[in-house]
Amino acid sequence: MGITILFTTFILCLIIGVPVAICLGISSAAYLVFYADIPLVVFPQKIFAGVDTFVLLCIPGFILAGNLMNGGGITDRIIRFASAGVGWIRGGLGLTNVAGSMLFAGISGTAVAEAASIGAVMIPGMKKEGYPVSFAAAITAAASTVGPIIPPSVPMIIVGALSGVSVGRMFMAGAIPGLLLGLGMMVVCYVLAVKNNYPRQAWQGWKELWHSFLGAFWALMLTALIVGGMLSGTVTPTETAVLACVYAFVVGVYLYKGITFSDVPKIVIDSAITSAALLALVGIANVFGWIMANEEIPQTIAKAMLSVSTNKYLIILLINVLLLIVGMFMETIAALIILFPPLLAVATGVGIDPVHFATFAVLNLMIGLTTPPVGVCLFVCANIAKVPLSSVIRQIFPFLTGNIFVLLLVSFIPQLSLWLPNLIFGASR
Amino acid sequence: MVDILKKLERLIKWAIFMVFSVMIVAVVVQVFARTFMSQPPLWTEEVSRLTLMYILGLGVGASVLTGDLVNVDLALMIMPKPVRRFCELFSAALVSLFGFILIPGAWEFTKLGTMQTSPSLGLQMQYVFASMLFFAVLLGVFGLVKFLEILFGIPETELTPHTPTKV
Repeated sequence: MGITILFTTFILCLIIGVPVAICLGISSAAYLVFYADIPLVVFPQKIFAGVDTFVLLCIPGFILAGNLMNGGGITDRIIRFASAGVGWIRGGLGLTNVAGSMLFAGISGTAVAEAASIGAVMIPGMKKEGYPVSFAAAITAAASTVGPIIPPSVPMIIVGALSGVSVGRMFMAGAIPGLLLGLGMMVVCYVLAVKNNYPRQAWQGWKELWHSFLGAFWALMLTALIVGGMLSGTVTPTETAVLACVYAFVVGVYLYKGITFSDVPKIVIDSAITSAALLALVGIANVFGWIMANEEIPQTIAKAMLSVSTNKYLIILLINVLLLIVGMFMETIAALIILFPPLLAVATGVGIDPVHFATFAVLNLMIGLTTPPVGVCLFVCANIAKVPLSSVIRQIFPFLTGNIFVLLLVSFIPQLSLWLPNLIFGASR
Repeated sequence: MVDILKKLERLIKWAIFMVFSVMIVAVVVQVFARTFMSQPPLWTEEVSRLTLMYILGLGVGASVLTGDLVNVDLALMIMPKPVRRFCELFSAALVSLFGFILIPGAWEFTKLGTMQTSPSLGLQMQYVFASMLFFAVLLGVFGLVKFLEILFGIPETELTPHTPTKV
């Protein structure tokens, strides 16, 4: 009965368009009031406990750093550098789009921000050069999924907070899969470009490559600061996030001069509001998760999955299929928060390393940002390109296939995610 | 009414800016002190966590208006316009209702803090727990504003023009 109240209310709220965090809240409140008869004072307590974690300070930190850098005009510089590097190859602007996203990923921890920033510059640019505009939108959407895989990554911070896995370890685990994802999309783009005879740009010379590198240098150094800070062990991920804000402020205001002092309060406030929405989701999901744990739902799911098979590889496949289906219909962070704890229990039950599991789970759900019918990055890019969603969906299928291939590689070859963190931080436990 | 809400919103945004700035200063002091001083201060972590709770408490209301609090609008997109409008109204009403029903619990929670003090700052925890009271009240108020915006067809840009950054 309790479970029925919880999930029926949740699904009904979701259908009528209530924000996901509030769907979780209302369904939890309905359960507490109408079934469990528990006073609602437990609600603020659980929200508070879910958010009052030092590591979650990373979220406002990395969002502000990304927004400051973006406001400081890094997008054009990154794209110029990427264009000088790969623009001369067949389908050069498509490759530039992917390379730009990979570089941007080292600064921003979110996919939608990346799709919006890169898309605003690249989609009109590709259209002007004669690329089909729906192809431009599709490749931008697909490439944006690299954002939360290459460190820093907001979803991985949330996973760290949920599971207790070190965020630094999670960030490093995403590095190789993120590079593979980007390279995979470049290969797909090149094949499509050759097949459809998409244009290439003239080689602009080593001088332009060097100058564009210098232009993007301070932006790229933010990635070095983030990764270097964590590798050195002198600062925690939270401290790295805040130092990145200070760095981005100095670069944006004094070096790139893309923002002024008077722009900063608005950027800070916008970043705080975005962070508050994410933290609300984390906090309210903590109440929902607590109820699920009380009802032994994670154990039930784990038991059900393990009753199908205890074969590690089959379980990996099952988890991936489940997450891909969920990612098609559900907001990714909410899906992550709700499903991560029960699936982690399944994964560790068959001997999958938590860091490995978290990496392919996040990668899987990020692919969900570009899968119809609910793919936020698809919506953003179709909107920028002003083309029907259906045309972007048709164009994105080759990239989706490539991304799912990389997902399978990362899922079935643990070393792709574990080698780097184990090398840097030592083997876990 | 709109004037009062705009003033409230300006006040909240100013507070959010101050809280975020304090968080940055606290963490920078923490890194600086640990690197260059023999004994780093203990208060920095506590302050930064306190500010995180206030970023949540003060920012969540505004996120209802800005669209940062994401929903899944798949079903809405295929509904006829009048049904969609009704669902949007009902959804905003539920957000507001959820905020308001949390207020008594948040008040109880805040009162619990009178019996506790934070370990390094010595701050009464009611001031920390009050972030949840702000959370509930602002969610209720801004949910109501959203409801009225839809009901009376007030343009969304009237309050809080903002481009959300989702994950």
